[in-house]
Amino acid sequence: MSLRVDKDNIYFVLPESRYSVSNRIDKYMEEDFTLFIKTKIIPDKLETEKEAFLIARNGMHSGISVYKDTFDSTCIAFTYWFKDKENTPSIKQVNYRLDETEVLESNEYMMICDNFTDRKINCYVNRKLVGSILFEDMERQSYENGFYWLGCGSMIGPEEHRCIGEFDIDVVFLLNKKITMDEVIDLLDNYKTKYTHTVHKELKKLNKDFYLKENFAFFSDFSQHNRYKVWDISFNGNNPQLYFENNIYF
Amino acid sequence: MAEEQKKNIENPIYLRVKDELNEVGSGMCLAKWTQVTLQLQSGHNHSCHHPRTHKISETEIARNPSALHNTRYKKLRRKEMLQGSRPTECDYCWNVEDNSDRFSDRIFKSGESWSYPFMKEIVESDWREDYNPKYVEVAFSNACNFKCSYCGPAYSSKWVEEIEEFGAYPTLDNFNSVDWMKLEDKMPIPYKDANPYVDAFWKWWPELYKDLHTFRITGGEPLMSKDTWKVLDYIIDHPNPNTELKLAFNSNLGVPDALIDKFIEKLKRIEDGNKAKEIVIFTSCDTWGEQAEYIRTGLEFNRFWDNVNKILTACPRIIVTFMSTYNALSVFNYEKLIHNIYELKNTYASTDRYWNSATFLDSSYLRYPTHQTVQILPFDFANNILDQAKLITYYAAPSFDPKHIGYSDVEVQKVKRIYDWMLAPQDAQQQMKNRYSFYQYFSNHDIRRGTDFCKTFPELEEFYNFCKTIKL
Repeated sequence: MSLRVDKDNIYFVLPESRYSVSNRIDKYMEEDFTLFIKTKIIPDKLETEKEAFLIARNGMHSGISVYKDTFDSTCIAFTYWFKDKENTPSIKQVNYRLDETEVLESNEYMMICDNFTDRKINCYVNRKLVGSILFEDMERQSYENGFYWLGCGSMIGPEEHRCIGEFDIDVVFLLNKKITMDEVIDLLDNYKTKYTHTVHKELKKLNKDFYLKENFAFFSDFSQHNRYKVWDISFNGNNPQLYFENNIYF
Repeated sequence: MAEEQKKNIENPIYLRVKDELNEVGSGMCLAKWTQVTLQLQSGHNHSCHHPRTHKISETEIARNPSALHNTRYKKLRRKEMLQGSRPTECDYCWNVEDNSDRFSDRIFKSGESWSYPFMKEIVESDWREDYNPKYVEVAFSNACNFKCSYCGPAYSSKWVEEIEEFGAYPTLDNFNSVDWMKLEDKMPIPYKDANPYVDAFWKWWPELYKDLHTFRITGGEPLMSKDTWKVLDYIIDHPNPNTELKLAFNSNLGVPDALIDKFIEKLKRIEDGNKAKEIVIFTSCDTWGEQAEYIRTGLEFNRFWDNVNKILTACPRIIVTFMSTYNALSVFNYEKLIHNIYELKNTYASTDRYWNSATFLDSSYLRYPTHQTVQILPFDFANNILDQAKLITYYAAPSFDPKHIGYSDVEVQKVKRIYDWMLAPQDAQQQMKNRYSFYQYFSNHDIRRGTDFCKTFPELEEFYNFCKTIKL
């Protein structure tokens, strides 16, 4: 089960809960991190050479986006923003053309960042490494106070930064830690049974003793939601919430 | 301080109210005229919950039934206010005003829609004059079929029976001893006995009713009082009803089914006939299921929940507010209450109401008796409350707007406040005394009422056994 995200149903996650029930998560993508999203892309809704973001940080659009190239192929882009010594912003991307079978159903897209040893971000499509973003001598942009968008680039910047798409999102999570592919697979295979318990009807919560529990910014299965928010399985207090005008305050 | 000043600047309405009150005097408060809580079971009243209640004179009400509110005692306080003094009994507000930049409750109460429009006529009145209040809360009797663990004989006839049979609890403060009630002349008049205060109320009622803004019946259990039914019939049968009236009831919704059905039938007639502007039922529930039943002796949880659904199904404009007195025993299942009240909000949402939500959760932390508060618990349990705050945040409405279905800002913040309060610094010695009383209270509770604390609260068995070992 998934949840349709489109121009009328865009979600965001705040850097801190509106009621101070969570730790700040704005700087979670500034060191080691693992960003995962499983979603179905709707190719018919994509425009040629126009990016639509699955997930993005506002301001500097680091994240994962899709677009159609001039050959009408669906491509995925993994993006991260840096700055050079003169403070000039610089964007680095890994682009990957999806083959036709990869756009029919839900697919997995992931960025795993090794900030300290290899200084690179490995990018994966369906658990296959498709490229790496290397830091070299670049500094990373700061995301202080920045939040996370699902289904667009940003709704609060200039119009050209909207980059709105249409997707059926299944699962998304962000960790402030790099984990191995085996750990990712284990988590995805077992989160519904072994690592969670039911709290109410279909709502499941990560067990307190699960070793990654405190590392999640959010971990949402989009089949679990209420009118305005998506459930956070890690229960760290950061629920993706539906965007509409004037509801960004915290 | 700067932050508080900013808040004041942002509230021009309250600033205006304060300025206008202060033109009369720094002690002026409209609530002394416009508001009253009548405890007819003991013949006491006060015009705001901060000053203590005072006794109503039987002689005065024999001559003038409005002296239920307009007592000689209160008129003297009004005189002080109109002459620029600050009545000593209102020191709660003076403390706030003298020690901070915050607005005190006299500003908020005087700024209410049931107060502010009457400022001019009150200020120009003579202090000896009678004044009909606009916001009236009344308890006709203490007749109640429940005896909640933090309640007492003043508000529950079941509690009176228990204390008469077994005496006060052997806690350090002799919990629910009736000695102080006797000292303050607050012993409730038995429900079946003649009550001169209730008689006076009915003489005053026709005159009172026509200008009322809010009328809230409390108790005891109001549905066990014949006077509640008399009020309902009066409104139903009135040829020219006060259609601006906000009608409210504090009910445990645990009375026999026949009374619930009768209540629904009468509420429907008021609702369908547009004989009141708004009807709110305030009910009480402090956690979920069997643990809630333990806290509120007399509660049959499933029947209670069925009754809530029955009322909301039958009466589409009625609002049910759950007043939750969050205590040490609420901690383990409160999230179930949060989940299920959200489901009620979802199920019964309707644009027929100003606020589309049909239900509200008003979570207040218990402060007294101190041996039942969350502050007696080990700190680890605070995590349960934080999780409940996260949960209610998940169910929160996205913005402050009547059309959204979900928990409001206030409902969320009140749960978070319980967490903050639990973690507030405490006097370790006093905490140990409270824990001692905790064991004394619940071990005796089990003996008197045939309950089993450790079976109902296995999460607290270790703590209970620890409290048992405390020697003072």
